[in-house]
Amino acid sequence: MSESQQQAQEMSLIARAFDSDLWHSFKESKVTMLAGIITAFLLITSFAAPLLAPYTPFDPGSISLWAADLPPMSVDEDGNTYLMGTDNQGRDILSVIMYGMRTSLIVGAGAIIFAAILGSAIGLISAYFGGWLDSLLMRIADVQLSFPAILVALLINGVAKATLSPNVLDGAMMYILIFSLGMAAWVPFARSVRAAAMVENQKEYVLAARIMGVPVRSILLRHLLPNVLNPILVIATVNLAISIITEATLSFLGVGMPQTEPSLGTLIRVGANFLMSGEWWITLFPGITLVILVLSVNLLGDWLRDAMNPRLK
Amino acid sequence: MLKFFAIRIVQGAIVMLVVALVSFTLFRYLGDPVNSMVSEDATIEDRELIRESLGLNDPVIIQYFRFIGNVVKGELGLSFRTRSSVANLLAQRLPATLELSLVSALFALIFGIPMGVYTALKPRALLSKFTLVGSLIGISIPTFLSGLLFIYVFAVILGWLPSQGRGGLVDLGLWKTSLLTFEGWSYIIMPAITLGLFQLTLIMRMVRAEMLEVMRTDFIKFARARGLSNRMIEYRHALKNSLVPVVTVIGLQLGSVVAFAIITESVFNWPGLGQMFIQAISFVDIPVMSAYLMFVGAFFVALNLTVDILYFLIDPRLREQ
Repeated sequence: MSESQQQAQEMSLIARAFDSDLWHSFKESKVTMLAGIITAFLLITSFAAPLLAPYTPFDPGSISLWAADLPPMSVDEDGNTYLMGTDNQGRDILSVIMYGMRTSLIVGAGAIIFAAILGSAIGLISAYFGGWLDSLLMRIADVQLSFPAILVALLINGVAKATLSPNVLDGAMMYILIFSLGMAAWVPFARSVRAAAMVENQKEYVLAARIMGVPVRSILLRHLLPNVLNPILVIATVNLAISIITEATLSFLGVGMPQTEPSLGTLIRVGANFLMSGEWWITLFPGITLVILVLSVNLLGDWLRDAMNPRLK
Repeated sequence: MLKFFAIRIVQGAIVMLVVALVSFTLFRYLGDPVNSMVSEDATIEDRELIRESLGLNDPVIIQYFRFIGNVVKGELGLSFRTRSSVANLLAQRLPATLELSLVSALFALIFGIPMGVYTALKPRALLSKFTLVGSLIGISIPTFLSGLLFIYVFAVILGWLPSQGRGGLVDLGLWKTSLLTFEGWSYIIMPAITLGLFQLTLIMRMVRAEMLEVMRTDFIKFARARGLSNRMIEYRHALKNSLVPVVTVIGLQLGSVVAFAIITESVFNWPGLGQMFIQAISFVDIPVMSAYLMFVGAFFVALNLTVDILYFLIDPRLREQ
């Protein structure tokens, strides 16, 4: 699939969106606006973490064990303030969260982009060619569905763990996670793209294109794909939230991002060890950040789904 | 109709064969089971002997069919780690996971469906708005995080409920249950609610969305024009028609309860299948892992089949085809 073509089509869709009902319904709903603003704020703070974070938590030189386990709003001996306290290694929680959220977002978004491309391709091919290929692909989707996302991701992770040496593993973990979360998430894309494309497939313009001898590739990418983009966009937004949660879960279970490059889930895993002794801030602040992030993305997804459903107008 | 079920059952069997193939190939080549069994100073001959006794030197095809044959006979091999029978291990762990899943699924259904119907029928009521906001927050809190929150509030701060394990069990012979004593319930309540919370919000939102869709259709307008009572329209027409797609989602969701149980069981140290699976992964305990995968695969195939059958019971249009 040509990516530049797809990008061009998505761009034109976005450009049209600003002039459409979609943008107006966005401005109508205050909750959606708020969710949009919060999402933008979280995106900026996490991706500008190196510039904005008060401390550089992963630089061993700047960490002092003297400042370990400080509750929120503490000031250490050197006069440094820790708004959200520090963890057991003396790292500033706020800074760690900003870096951690960036990792969570990159993994989540990367997985969804991978899943969307893979799923749409499979859905289009399945709908266009039909027959045994369609049955085969959909049965594969069935088998895949008989393993819940978290299991698929756990499996692929397990395989990677057993085949890669430990020092390579930590560096490659982000790509392994993107791959395993993406492999766990392509089915909804494939199914709804297939369903939408099968409807489109019956329409005259596709028939006309076929009769005119337009190459299959062009029919799939230029005729069918633009007309099934709405479900892709909605599913991508809704599944982004799920994929961020799944990544956090894997990291929490200890098979995700390593402690040297923690995501929000890794931070919560570390914090959970100290929950019983009452050091709540190590768990709570990354947890709240994760919830706010997922909640805003969910709200945007809900709005997108309702706004793109013509029957709800 | 019989033909339809026959086809679905054959498809299910094929799916199971593929699942078996996946779990067999993955775990046949994942790590070296011999390494985790022998002591550090074992000789090469010792290793070969163990290799031979486990049948790891035979051709792959033979190993695959032996694997399937054994699974059908219920012989799931010996755990590489504990040398005990995997079938026994599954049987020991199964009650814990099933009880947890059952209680949490009931919790989700009993609260989810009425809440969905209510919020769809009375969208402007204060309670509806409150519920909807609550459900959005609920769907955004990962299972492990709500579990940790419950533990912190009810176990660490308040000290009301135990947070680890199943507590004292009543032995019913094959089945050790925690549902017969007050103590057992005090152990199961937090994990069950944690596990069910996500399903609850999902079921509620699903029921609500479907109800809203159906309430817009022409036959509801026609029913109103016929002068039927609201109650009649809402429950006999709308709810019944919105349940068809809901059944699929609920069915598949109940399946994913078993998968989510992995997380809940890790948080609450619940001695179920999920905890066993995570432990098996960290010890590269191949027979346990593949047995767990086969179990989950079979569970899901059975669920899909049940959902298909329910379709026929709910939707008379399908029966006439």
